[in-house]
Amino acid sequence: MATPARAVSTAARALPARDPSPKRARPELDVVDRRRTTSRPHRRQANILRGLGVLFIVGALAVTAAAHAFVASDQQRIDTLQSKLTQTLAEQQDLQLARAELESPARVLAIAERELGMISPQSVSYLAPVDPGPSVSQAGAAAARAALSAAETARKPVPAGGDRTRTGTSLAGARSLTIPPPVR
Amino acid sequence: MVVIAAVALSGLAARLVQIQGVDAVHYAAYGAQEVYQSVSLPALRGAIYDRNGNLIAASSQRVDVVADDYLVGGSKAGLGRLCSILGLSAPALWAKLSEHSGYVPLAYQVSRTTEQKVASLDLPYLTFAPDLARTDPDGDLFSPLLGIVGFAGQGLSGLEYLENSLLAGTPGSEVVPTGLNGEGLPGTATDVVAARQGTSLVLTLDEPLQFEVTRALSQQIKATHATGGVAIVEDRRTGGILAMVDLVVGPDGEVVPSSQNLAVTSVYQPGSVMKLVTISGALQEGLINPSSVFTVPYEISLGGWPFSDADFHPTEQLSATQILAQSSNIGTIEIAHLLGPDRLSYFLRDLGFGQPTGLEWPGETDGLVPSPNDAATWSPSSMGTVPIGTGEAVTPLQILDAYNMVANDGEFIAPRLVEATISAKGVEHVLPVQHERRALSTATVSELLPMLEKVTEDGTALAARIPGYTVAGKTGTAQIPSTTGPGYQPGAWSATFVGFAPAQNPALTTLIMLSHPDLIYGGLASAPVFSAIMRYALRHFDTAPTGAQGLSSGSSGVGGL
Repeated sequence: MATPARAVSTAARALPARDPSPKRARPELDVVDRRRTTSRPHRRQANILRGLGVLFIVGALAVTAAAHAFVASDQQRIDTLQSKLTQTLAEQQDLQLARAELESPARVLAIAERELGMISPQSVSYLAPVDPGPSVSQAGAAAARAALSAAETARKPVPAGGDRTRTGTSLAGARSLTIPPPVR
Repeated sequence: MVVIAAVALSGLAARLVQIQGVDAVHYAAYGAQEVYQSVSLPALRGAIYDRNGNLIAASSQRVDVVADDYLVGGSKAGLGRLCSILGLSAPALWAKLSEHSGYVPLAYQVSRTTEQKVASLDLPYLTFAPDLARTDPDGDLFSPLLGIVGFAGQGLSGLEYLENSLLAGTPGSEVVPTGLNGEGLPGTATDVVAARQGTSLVLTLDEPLQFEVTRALSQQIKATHATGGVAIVEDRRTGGILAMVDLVVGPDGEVVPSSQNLAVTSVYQPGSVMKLVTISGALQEGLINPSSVFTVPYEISLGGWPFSDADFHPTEQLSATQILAQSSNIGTIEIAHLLGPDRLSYFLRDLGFGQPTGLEWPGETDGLVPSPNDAATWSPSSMGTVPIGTGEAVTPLQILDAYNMVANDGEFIAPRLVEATISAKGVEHVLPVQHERRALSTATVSELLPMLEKVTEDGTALAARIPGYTVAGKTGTAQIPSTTGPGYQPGAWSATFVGFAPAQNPALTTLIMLSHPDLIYGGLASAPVFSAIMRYALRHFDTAPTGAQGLSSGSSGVGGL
């Protein structure tokens, strides 16, 4: 079965014989010297362009490589600085803690008492104004008196060049009192 | 042969397609798992400052020294120096290095200096694991308030627990390729998510005042042989707690900070400081005025139980002001009967008892306040015990807040410990003051203030006076209930003084409570501590003297303040 098919195929590929006398005359063809197809300046230009292109590619690659090197270098610097920053921040935090410990009132007191010989007093005297001022129950009446006095002052003309009465308290008359013993 | 080769090649091709195509993601992940390691970056916990910017708690980066004991072998080179650096004994260190676990922590949270010393030994089996340490520069000065931070960096108690969500921050992560020994290759981290530092807190507490209050309370605990005490100083205008001290006597007899904030988590029978509820309620209801006179016997019987005043006296006529100043139990019970159980119960809650203070402290108790509507808590004698402060159990902070309300012209302000937050970027956010509600009218307060001032002028708390300043307040003395059954512990008392100064324009409200003092009365044991602390505090906060009471000058007998 395969042989007839091959025969058919061979028959199909058989070409018809060429007609020696063409019906239409073909123009004469010459072999052209390749150097004559383009002018000399044109070719030089192309070479330059090609050269420039190669140079551009090589340059771009070099710039890219250099940029990569710079980026890598900068990244390394950033990493180093970041590491230093982290370390410095940690040191700052440690120093803040150390300062807080040094400023601790308990530590300051301990050094003052143990090393510098400070002795805490058994009692502390405070100076205060002589005028006791009003208590809550007296405050209302005092405020009323003050308002009345202010109203009267407002009615009186202030003498020109007159000396002002100095108000306030003086420590000259301050005296030391001790609270009486407590009672229930 | 050709067929076999074709089948084998087909199988290989199929396997290749499966590995490189179908299961490519799975195998890539498997490979990455072998090579890359995800590392958690711990977030630095926020710091805690006092109101003046003094650092009172902060985290710092530390390392744990870890040994791989499989790599130690029999070599003991450098172990002697390692022992001296880490403070370990040689047998203890060698025992650790013989555990055969592969991961033996030798020391936790060592400092950078120690780390460098250990690293200089160049022992191949030692590595350093990053860790964070929480440090309180003031030692245990604030410990009952700050609480504890666990090894995992989480707040376990106190303020560290209460504000953990703010303080903790957010951990970061990074992916690091590892070498053959499993250690990350330096400088190769990818997918870095930076840890976000926690928010810092600025507290209302004042470090110098906290120290002085601790000193004064500690000295009085020793002087009165008390078993412990609580002191709180509060800013009247903002409710900010300026000092909060909880001290107990330890097993060795030394006065030490309590393990918890007793001012908020423990209750006690406060005694006569609770007379404020009855008196203010009766004034508010218009039932009495400061001059209302009552016939007061020494003793009465109520619900089958005898009630008496502290000292014997014949039946006498006392004004409401005198009843409060002399702390008459019978006079107060008489006024309470005018008020009645329902209104008494109402004013108990109106003044903040039996409910949270607003501090939202972990473990805070509401206290135990009886109600006439609850037969289980109210008895026929309750109208005797509740008005004089022996029928309820409250926290020291609840008492302080009730008196601070009076000092604040009848308006409640929630107590607070956190004044502001500071974000990781350094932005400060000041928290607003919580004005809660008006409990008493200004008219009632204006009548009540002189009555409370009388307590320190010629009442039970002369020792609370402060030279140059007027003081208003109240003493409280109560027996301590038995812990084993009904009744009281014989000879065991609690002594309280709570007050504010200057009385005309209060700046600070302070409570002092001593447990089991041998000077049992609040006016004797606690009032002097109040005076000593307030002398310092009023000047510390530049409060101008108002005169009266102490007149020109005076001396402090407690703590040398």
